Amino acid sequence: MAYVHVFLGHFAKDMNREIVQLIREKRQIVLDQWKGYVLSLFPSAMKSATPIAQAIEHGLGDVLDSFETTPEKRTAALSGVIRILAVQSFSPSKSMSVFFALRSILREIGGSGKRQIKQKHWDEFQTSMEQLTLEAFDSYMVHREKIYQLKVDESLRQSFMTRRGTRA
Amino acid sequence: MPKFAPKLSELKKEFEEKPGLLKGDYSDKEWWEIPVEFRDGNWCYPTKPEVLEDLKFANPRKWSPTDDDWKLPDGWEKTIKEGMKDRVERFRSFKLFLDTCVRCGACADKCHFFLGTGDPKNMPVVRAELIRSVYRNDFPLAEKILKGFSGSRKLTPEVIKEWHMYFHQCTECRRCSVFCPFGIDTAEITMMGRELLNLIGVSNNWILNPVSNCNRTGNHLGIEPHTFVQNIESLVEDIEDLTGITVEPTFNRKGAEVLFITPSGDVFADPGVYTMMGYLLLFHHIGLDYTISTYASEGGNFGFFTSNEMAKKLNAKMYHEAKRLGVKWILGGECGHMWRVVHQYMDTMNGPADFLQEPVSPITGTKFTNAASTKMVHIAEFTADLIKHGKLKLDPKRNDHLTTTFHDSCNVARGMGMFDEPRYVLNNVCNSFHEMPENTIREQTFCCGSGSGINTEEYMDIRLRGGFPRANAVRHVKETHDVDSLVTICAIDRATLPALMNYWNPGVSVYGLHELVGNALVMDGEKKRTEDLREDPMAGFEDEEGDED
Repeated sequence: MAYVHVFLGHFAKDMNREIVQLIREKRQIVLDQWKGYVLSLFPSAMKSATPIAQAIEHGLGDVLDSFETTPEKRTAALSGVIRILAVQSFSPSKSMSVFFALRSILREIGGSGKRQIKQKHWDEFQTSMEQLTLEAFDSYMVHREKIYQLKVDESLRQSFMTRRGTRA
Repeated sequence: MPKFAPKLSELKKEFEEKPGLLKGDYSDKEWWEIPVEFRDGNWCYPTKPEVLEDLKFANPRKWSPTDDDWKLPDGWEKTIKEGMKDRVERFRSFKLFLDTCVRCGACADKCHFFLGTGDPKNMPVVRAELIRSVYRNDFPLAEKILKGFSGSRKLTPEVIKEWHMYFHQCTECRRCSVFCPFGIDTAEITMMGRELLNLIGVSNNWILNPVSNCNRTGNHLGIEPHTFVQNIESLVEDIEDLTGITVEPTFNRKGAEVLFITPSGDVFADPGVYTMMGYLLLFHHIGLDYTISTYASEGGNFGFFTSNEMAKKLNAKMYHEAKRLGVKWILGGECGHMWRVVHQYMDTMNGPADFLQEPVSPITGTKFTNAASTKMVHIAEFTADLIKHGKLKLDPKRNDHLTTTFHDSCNVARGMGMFDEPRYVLNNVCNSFHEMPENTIREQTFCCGSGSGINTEEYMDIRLRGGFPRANAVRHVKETHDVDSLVTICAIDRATLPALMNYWNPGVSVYGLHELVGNALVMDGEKKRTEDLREDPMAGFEDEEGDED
């Protein structure tokens, strides 16, 4: 448990500043590529201009911005993206791959141009990304559980008067 | 360039990198060769054999969409082809819609299921192609000769599976038809597709079980008359507890002026029952001479999602009861597809109702000339007329605990063109109404994603995807105006939007229009009101210290 505690705490206080700076400088490029990856998981006709694509872009942007904010805001940002992924036709593992994709995108962008980020920064970032992915998995499960709860709630609403009569 | 239009570079990237019909595994293949995959969350339970037997429908058996063999009856291909020929000859609209499409694509991105899933077979044009491709193989002479050039295909079990999948990912909302330059109504294609599937026993229990119940008892849940009365009497007690007023509905009373028919969801389900309480308060407030039938105890008509004949049969009880009870005209409650059936079909299906009179409001004297033929008036029109004539004592502050928006129900908005009456009522019973974006309301309204009989829990994943465009518009007013209450005039909306809101917009509750009317009505002789019809506290009406009930 102690390990988990240290592990979870790491992200909140020490997201690598070099990587945060990279995201800040290249935000639109990162976002475009990341959104492109997420849309590629959908059936072929999911275009950039659809409400789903816009919501995904908005949510992914919030996740990128959350690297500089509080854990609460990051959780809310993650929820915005995962809420969409959790009801799609693709598998849970594909949904989680979204966060591995971010790491690859950042490595590619960070490895090009004048800026060369040192390996130790990537190593630190790797830990943060693992934490983000675990949080995303938690959020995914919360949303799947919520869908089952919605089914139960709906059934209860349909029999509202019957149940009330039974109680009486 | 529109703000959200994709850039050329994005389109190029999509074309080159994403899997699609023209490349990868599906290159050189036709669109219909992409296989249909049934998995949990994207199919509804098939109709139970005993339900099919009860209705004398074809091919009762146990099966599942996930089975390889759907146990189709012997000669099913002939049944489908003859069924299609029969319908092409009987329904001119069906023939026209099959023949006239030029594949312009104007409809493509108007469908909430396409927007929510990205699945190309959810483009209305492709959904219609599911049938057209078979039609072209066997019917128009020129295209029969030009097989291979005309996009035709043979009828196979895979086609049936595809039809079952995609004709139940269409809610018959008709948003696509608003944008079609030819006015092609894909809802009618879907209706025909479902009729054909029913001929060979491919159907959903969630649709046919209510049909069977309705056929037997008059309502979808199969509530017997005494239970129907008990439920309403229980609501009468609730009203008395909350307001101190005893409302006195009557049942099956001959000689009443008006027969009131509403969806049975208003009698047994949450939150519909609060809308029912609103109706009862309103009728008491104006002293309406009305009665409720325990046989015509369902405004909804799931037969409409099954076949033309079944829609006609289930609808017939409205006029039968109106005639038996000797009323002058019919008042209809808040429902969606009930009003499409009433407005567009009832008169020719089961009319003319020449034993009824042209509806006249006994309170204001207004003649509802728009209902001169059907003799049935929508309650939003009726209430709007009462308010316009100053006949209701309303205190909109009693809804100050709610910040509202309005969801136009597809069938009432697009089906019968009713846009302003509910808004007029809403603006008179609450102080905080905010419209959703222009392209998501009125005739362009987005469906709840669960209409046309797919509002079953096992289909929740698909419903949440299909309902996303509507939820997204609600999110906009939630973020910009702190909207927390989605008001609607449809029973299926009231049943399904709570789940949609709970998932996409937690904190937004769903209300019927007449529930808010019931909250705002100031009744003669009432006790001090502190709670709304849900027993939630009303802002600014809290008990002061020392107050006693």
